[in-house]
Amino acid sequence: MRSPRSQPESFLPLSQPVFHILVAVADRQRHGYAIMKEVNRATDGAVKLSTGTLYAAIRRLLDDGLVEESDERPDDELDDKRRRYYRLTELGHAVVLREADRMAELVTLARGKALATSSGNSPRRS
Amino acid sequence: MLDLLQRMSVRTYRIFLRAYPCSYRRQLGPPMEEAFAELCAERLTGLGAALRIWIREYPSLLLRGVSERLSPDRRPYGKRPSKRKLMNNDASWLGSVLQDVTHGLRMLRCRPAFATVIIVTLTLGIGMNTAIFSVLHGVLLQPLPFPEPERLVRFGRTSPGDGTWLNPLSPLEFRDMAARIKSLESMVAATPVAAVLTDMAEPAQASGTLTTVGLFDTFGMSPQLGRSFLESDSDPGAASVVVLSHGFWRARLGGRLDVLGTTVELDGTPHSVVGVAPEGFGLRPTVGLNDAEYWVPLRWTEDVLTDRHSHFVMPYGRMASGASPDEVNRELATLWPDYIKDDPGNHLDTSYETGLHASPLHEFVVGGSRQPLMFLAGAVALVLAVACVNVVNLLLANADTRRHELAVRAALGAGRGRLVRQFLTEAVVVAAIGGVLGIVVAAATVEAIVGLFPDAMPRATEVGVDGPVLAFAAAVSLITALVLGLVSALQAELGASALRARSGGRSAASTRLRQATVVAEIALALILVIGASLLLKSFWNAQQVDLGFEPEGLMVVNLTLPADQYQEPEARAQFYDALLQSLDEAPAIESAALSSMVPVRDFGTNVSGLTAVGNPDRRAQYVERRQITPGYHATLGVQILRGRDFTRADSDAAPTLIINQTLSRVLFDDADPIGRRLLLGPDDETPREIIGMVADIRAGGAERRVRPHMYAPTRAAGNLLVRARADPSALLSELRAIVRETEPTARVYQAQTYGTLIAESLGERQFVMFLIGAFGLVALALGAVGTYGVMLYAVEGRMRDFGIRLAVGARALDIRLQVLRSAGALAGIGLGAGLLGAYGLRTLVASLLYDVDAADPLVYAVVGLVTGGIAALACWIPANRAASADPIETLRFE
Repeated sequence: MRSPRSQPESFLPLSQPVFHILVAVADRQRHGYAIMKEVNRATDGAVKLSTGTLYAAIRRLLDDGLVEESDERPDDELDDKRRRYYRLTELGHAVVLREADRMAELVTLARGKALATSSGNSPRRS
Repeated sequence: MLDLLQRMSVRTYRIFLRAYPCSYRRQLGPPMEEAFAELCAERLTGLGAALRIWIREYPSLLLRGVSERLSPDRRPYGKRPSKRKLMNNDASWLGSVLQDVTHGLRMLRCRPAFATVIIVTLTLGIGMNTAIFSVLHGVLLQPLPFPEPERLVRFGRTSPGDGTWLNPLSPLEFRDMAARIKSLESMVAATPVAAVLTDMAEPAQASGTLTTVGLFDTFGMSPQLGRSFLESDSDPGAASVVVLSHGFWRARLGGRLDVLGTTVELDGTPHSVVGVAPEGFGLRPTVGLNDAEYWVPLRWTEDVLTDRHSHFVMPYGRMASGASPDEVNRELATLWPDYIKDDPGNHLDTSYETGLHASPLHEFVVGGSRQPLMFLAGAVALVLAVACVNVVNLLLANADTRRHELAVRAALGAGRGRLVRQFLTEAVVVAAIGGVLGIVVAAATVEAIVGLFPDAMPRATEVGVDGPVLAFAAAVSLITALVLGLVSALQAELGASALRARSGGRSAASTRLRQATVVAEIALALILVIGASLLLKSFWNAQQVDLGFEPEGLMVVNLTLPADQYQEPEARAQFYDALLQSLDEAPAIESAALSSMVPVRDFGTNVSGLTAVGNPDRRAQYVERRQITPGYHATLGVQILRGRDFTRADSDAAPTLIINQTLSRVLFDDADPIGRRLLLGPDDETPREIIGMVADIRAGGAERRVRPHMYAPTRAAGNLLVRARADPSALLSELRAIVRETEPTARVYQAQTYGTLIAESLGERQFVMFLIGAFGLVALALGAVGTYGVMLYAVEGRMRDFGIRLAVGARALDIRLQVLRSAGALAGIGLGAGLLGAYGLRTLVASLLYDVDAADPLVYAVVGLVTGGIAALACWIPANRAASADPIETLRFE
């Protein structure tokens, strides 16, 4: 198994699905399908994860210590035994922050050259 | 239904999960499955949604699973290699794939027999599947070739039975109904007709459609040239007009642009051409939507306007925008009570006809073909499964023989992933070759199917290899490649573990897998052959059905008379009198007669509301009405059970009838009908006397039930039935001569033996049986080859044992029996599984059978024995080889 790297910068840049997964579990723990739904909601349907993609990413995130499995489970009637709940680790938190900063710097750079809209949203690719 | 779809999706997901390595599945399998189940529960709301979910989930699962197996060492996800490095990596990746492809092709070239067997097997599997998909696509899936085809409906009265058939209406009923249905934007009623083109150099028959106005509007088309019919064209005294089909106009009139206003002679009557239909537009109601060469307007004559009982037009409608078939049906349901109440003659039998119903036109046209086609699709998928199992088998054997090569490459530094990818690429290469050749096979097969069985299914002309079919072939090839690739990955893993263990023998897992393929092949082939045999028996039974007359030696002849000389009925009657007289005198002809309709070939034209004088409460519905000349029943070979046949005097004297046994039972139970008088409907004022009762015949063909029949005398009718003393087909030239002698300008334009007619009536049954039989044979051959291959391989691996046993005194017979016993065990399991499988699937085939039990023990037993025999034969050569092991050779080798 790969030993977790401790420097957040060593993980950057993050791929789009990985960034969204980390953001989805940033505010609270979520299980697999809840992550898929949250990513879909947050990106307004622009990013749709398949279960294969999601769990391939989660496996790597677990290995690298950016997310961890949570032992806290909801009440039995709201739960399914097969579910795993994931939450962000401190390292994961630091990595998302660095990635967000990095992207913000890029946006500032682009704006300086009048290449981005003032709201900060990059034009949607059609 | 939705629940079933969801469960099926999750189950399939579980199967695809097996693409992942075991450790991965242990860790993440359950949460992945749970997430997918939740996704299905929330999003899978129909077949369309299911398709979207499958397309997004399954391939990604397979690919990720395989890549997990291939490269357990992954690079950190966050790090992107530098551009230069990436390019280098890509180049080397592409290069190594090309290297794999080249190596794969070289390996195939080095082992031509191996390559040929694999490629031929896959070509057959993929080709047959693609061919059946083309038929399925052309007939079932493709929308009808009209604008907004989903708005088209066909309506009519429902009759008992399977509820799919809609009885025709009388034109008067159609007109009343058309005025009241609001959910239909436009309506048309039509019926098939045929005419002889009398102004052609050689008279030819053309099929056409008699239609009310609104034909083109209802189908959303407009004529390519000229106009459609106007209300005035339907007036009784209006000039005769015709609209021609595009094909007729191009083929017979050379596509002349000045065709409008010219005339075409139909049955001797000149019709003025007022329009030409757009290309591809056809409407022949009884068989579907093709084939009409011309359209003529229905005339609202006095007869048509007063006759409620002659039901012969099929109504079609275009729903108003936004309306649904349910809405039309609701409206039709409200019309039904009025419809019964308004019927002045009360000729409806509401226990026989239960209401009015509208079906979407697409469903009406192809609904009957859905089951046989889906059945064929299932069967052909089984063939592909057998083909895949066979190829897997060969690949497994191949992997073992390539262990040495693998060892060398591993020693030279090839990683495990690299070796597995080599096998995967080879699988993709053979599947791609099989796919390309399969498309060629499919194109040829489709052409052959449509050529051989043009009437076996509706919309046959729309069947072809097109874009969606090519996409299907590509998808099937891809799935095949993935299946084979997964097995390749597995076998390479097994090979690698065998290498690691430095085992001299073959790995147990690999042997078990190979034995499982034998069991699967025998079981699948057996299921197919049982299905084929049941259909063969049905076909045989349908052919053996006693039609109630003797078709051997019978011939049907159609001829045409010059219209100007024979306009008067009496002139025609005199011609036919003379012709029948000459035919009676001809030594080669036993008897001859005329009939308005030909049993098995023609049906329709029925009368409802028949009653016997003095008993108005007992009615006969849907009585087939025929006009015949004296000697008709004798010519067909039908016995007159009571009374007498017509004589030439009958057609001129007081009206008389002959009825069949069924009609007699309906009206009189078992009492003698002779001398009783019948009224043809409540408004009929001319009672007709029954002078004879004949035995029943199956006039609709072997598979339709016997209907009540009535026969009226005539002196002239369109079909000449001739019974020959010897071979009827040798009679044609003599017949032509007799016709010419009687009238030099008369021509025979069509002559068919009854054998041909009956074969045509069994067309669909023959089509399904032929294809399923072909699939069964292919599966059986593949199964035999596969079994042979596995047994031979097993024997070769044990030659040393056999040699030693022979050296210490075992007899050759013992060795042979030992091999056959071990093969027998496998074959036995396969046969058992096949028999159980066929029994489990029996309901699928049941509806296609005729007079055969889907679990017919005789068929199961015979097919089981034959398949077992073939399996035994396939094992015999390997057993002999084992028995011929040379002890000296073996010991020397040791």
